[in-house]
Amino acid sequence: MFKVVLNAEEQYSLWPQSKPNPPGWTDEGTVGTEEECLARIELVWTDLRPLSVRTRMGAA
Amino acid sequence: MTSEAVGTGRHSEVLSEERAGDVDALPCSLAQQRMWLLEQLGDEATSYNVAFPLKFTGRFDRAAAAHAVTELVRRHEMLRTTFEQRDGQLLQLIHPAGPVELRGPVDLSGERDPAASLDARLQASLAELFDLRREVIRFVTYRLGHDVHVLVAVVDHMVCDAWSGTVLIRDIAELYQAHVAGRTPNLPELAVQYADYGEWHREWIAGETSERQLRYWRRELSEPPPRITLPARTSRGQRRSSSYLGTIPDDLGQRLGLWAQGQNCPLAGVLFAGFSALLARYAGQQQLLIGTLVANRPRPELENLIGFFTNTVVLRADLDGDPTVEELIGRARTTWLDAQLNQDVPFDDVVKELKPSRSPDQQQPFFDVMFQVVESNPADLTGGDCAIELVEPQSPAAPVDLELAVFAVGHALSTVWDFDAGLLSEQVVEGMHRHFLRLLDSMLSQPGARLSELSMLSEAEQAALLRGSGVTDPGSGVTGSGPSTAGPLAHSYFQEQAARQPDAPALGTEHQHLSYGQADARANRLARLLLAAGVGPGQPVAVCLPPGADLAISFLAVLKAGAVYVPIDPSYPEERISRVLAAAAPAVVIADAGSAVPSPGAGVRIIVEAESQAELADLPGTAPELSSTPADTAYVIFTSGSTGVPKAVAVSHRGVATIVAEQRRLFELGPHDVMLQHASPGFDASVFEMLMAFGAGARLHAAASGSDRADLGRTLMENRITAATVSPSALVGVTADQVRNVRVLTVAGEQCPRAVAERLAPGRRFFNLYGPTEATIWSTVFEVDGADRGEGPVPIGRPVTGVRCYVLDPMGNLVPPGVWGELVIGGPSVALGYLGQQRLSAAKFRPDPWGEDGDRVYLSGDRARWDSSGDLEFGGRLDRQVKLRGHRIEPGDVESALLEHPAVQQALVLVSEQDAAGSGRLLAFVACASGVEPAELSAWCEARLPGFMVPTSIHAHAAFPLNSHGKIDQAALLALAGQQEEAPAADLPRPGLEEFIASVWAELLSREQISRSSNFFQLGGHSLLATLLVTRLRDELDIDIPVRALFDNPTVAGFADALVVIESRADQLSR
Repeated sequence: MFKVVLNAEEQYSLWPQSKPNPPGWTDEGTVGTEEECLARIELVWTDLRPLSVRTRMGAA
Repeated sequence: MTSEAVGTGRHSEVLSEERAGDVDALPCSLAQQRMWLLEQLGDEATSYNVAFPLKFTGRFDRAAAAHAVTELVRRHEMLRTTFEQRDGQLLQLIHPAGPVELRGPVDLSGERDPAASLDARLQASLAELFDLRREVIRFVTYRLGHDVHVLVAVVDHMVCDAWSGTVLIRDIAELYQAHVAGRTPNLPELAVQYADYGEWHREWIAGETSERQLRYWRRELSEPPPRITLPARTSRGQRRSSSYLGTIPDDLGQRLGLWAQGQNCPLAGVLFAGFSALLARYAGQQQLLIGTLVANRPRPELENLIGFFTNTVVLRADLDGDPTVEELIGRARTTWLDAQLNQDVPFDDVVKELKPSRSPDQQQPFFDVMFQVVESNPADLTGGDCAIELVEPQSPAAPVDLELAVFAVGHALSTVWDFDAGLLSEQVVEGMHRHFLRLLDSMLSQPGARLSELSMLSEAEQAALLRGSGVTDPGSGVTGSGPSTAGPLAHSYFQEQAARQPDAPALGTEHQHLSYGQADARANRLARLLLAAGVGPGQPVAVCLPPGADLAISFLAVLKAGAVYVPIDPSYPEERISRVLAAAAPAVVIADAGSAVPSPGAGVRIIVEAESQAELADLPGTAPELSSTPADTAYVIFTSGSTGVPKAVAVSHRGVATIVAEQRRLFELGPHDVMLQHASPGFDASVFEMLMAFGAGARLHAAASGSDRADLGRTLMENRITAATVSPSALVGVTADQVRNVRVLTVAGEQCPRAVAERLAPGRRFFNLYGPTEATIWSTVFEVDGADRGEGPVPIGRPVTGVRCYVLDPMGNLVPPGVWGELVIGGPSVALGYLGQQRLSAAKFRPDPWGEDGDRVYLSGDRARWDSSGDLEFGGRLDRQVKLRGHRIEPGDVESALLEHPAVQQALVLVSEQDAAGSGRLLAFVACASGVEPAELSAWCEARLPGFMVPTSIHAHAAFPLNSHGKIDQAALLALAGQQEEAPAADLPRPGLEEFIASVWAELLSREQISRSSNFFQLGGHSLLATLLVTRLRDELDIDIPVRALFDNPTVAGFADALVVIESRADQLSR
């Protein structure tokens, strides 16, 4: 089983549910099979660019 | 097992006509037939002797010893049995009891090291084969010192097994002690003898229990998982048995024993669980077949017999689904106990029933690894004025790659690892022992943990691996790919050079070039034109130009405009260009005057620099003021995805800057260097070339046209190129003389054959580079120096500065050196992901398990392992792994074997499309400088690889066709191979001997059609069928054919040739 995780740049990924997250990664809240987690990521991760880049571009 | 006792009546009614002369002639047991067959198959150097040494400390009574051995042989019919083959039947002849010779004592006490001298003699006696028509056992005594004697019983395996050893020792000791003490030995006469068992067992086999057991094995083994691949040497050497003896700490042994009791599991089951967890990590598979020997003494009356009872069973370890330790123990317990319950049906029957395919070099059907637990209680044999103890028995190693035997005397455990030293190094086996202990320890301390969470590596090993992976200070993290606004950008190093040396040549030829200052000004004007055209920060700009100054200027201009560089090779087919343009949706396209770029869509401007001269001249030549950050996208490269949909890899400025810094540090180029611009612009090697020149302030020289790619050697020489990055394939036709000006030669993009490096490395610095587009071009480097580094392709080396390379198993654990795993790349050069494919990005880019601050890694899908010097070896794509006839094959391993041939410059192994039976064929393609016959290469492979890995056909080419990326054009090769395929008619057996052999095979193997190149073992033949075949042919052709001949020549054509040779030799002898 996996869970959906994201970092401060809002880059999404998967991590085994049974293992603690590496530093800098937080749970998005979804837990499920690899397929279920990827389906969730497809929904929530709409812009590939890191958050800092999106914010700056948006501000510019 | 049935409950009927073994018949206690004498076996006299069988073959009673043989009773004359007091010799009983009886058919052999099935186990004996199996052992006899093994002995027949072995070459003369293979011994099936076992030596049981008994050490007497104190006063040694030779007469008592002589009495003991005579009495022993009287008690056990088996020890006075000989064997003969009559009318195709193997018979055991039981002789009447009589005096037995006890040789010695041989006095070794005068030798410098009596113990070593004894050991040497034991080894010699193992090698001294028995003539089974005369004797099966020998006794010798040795005198090692004043009060130390050793009595050695050397026995043929036909009449004993491990259990027999215990019986033999106990009986001799008791007979000796009783004789010395003048009392009656406490050994009741045996109620049954081995021959009784043989008959009883034969009847039992015909019964219903046997059928039930067979059903169990059919269920367990009908779909066998791939055979276990251990971290082997590059190529398999001559088979050589070696042993590694390991100790298990007392407290671990204690805890294991107690824990097994607590889990209600035999100790053997717990150890089996640990061993399968170890093998799963080493072999990278979750289903494993492991052989083990079972005592197969199903009745109490058999327990005191000496004889060969042992049967082989196959344990199927199942580690699927990442079970917890307790779940695994449960599964192992079931597997172990079920195997014991179904242990009686002869292994040969199981093999006959299931017909597993195997190649002749695979010594056993089903498995290459064995596991044994030998439990015993320390026996007290001491009595009178002499202490008797059993010294370690000596027996031949089982013909497998690896066998682990765990000896348990009470709670004291030790291991013996017998391994094929031609395949495995002692270093690897020693590591396996340590990792076995560590896994057992972790299992005991975390019974609720999942297998993926258990640590196999010690902290020191883990730290060393992480250091080698590029984690500079494990735990403190120094890379960090999180948000940061400071740091160099992709074009920073070019700006630096333009400021420092504006007059130095930057782009062009020796006589006609742009200086760094001029190039900078042109790039600045173009950048301003892009901005004027409405290109905003982070917007893609497609650049559709061939290699040349304009390409480099455009690259720089796009970056200077804060936009994203999207290169497109103008030589690509129009359809692909259209697809890339549609996917990239660029704001502007930069193209050549002459090129016909498909319309990128409404409102997209196409800039042709030459046509915009007036506009450009009005713009200032200074850099536009923009502030990209290291996290911004610098370029997007389209790679071909496996599904045909191109993937757009977005690479950050930080990644590019990391690469440039390492190029500067490692290659040490300067303003006097000339770097070749040669790669297709659609390939990130093109970016690498530009960075390598600009980072060093060197001149970038564009190859004049596409045709120059075909004559790389001349281009390098005529333009006095001093630095180049090319694919190894492109170097095949290049001579050492043509690279005489080249100071730095780097190869990338493909496995580098050693021959290329050896030919072109002398006289310059030669680097083998590896890296995927998804980790910014470059991840590892290996510098080839003069020192010979053995065989096989050149390693890909170590991570470049700042980059991390982990080799992980499917569970995400670091694997020890020598073990193949997936290469996983971390650090600042990890790409941002695939544009517009977030789902795929999340799947391929994962959290860095050893990173800080949200670092990510890229799962490369490449197979790699650490070699013993701490360099990475590349092992092909993980998804290239193919399964043919139940065997897992790495095309990379076959390629490595081919590359070891001195004439082979390049090798590529592909699988043909599946045939009607759903099986593909292994096709090998080689590029050779000199002409070499495919047959010679086939023989070369046969000598180095298991049969199932030997290519079905080998196609030799002078050079490989290359595609537009300069990589090998696989489709073209396959098409060529299709044309070369021989008509199937050519493979029909030739009239005469071949046809006759084929007809016998067809009958034995139940096949309609047998071709000349059909392999007996690949068609389901096994050792028993092999003997049947040989016996048949012996009778029909009247030639004495050794069974071995079939194993050495398993095809119809090969076997026919071998028979002709055998016959002619026989003729010569009879003359």
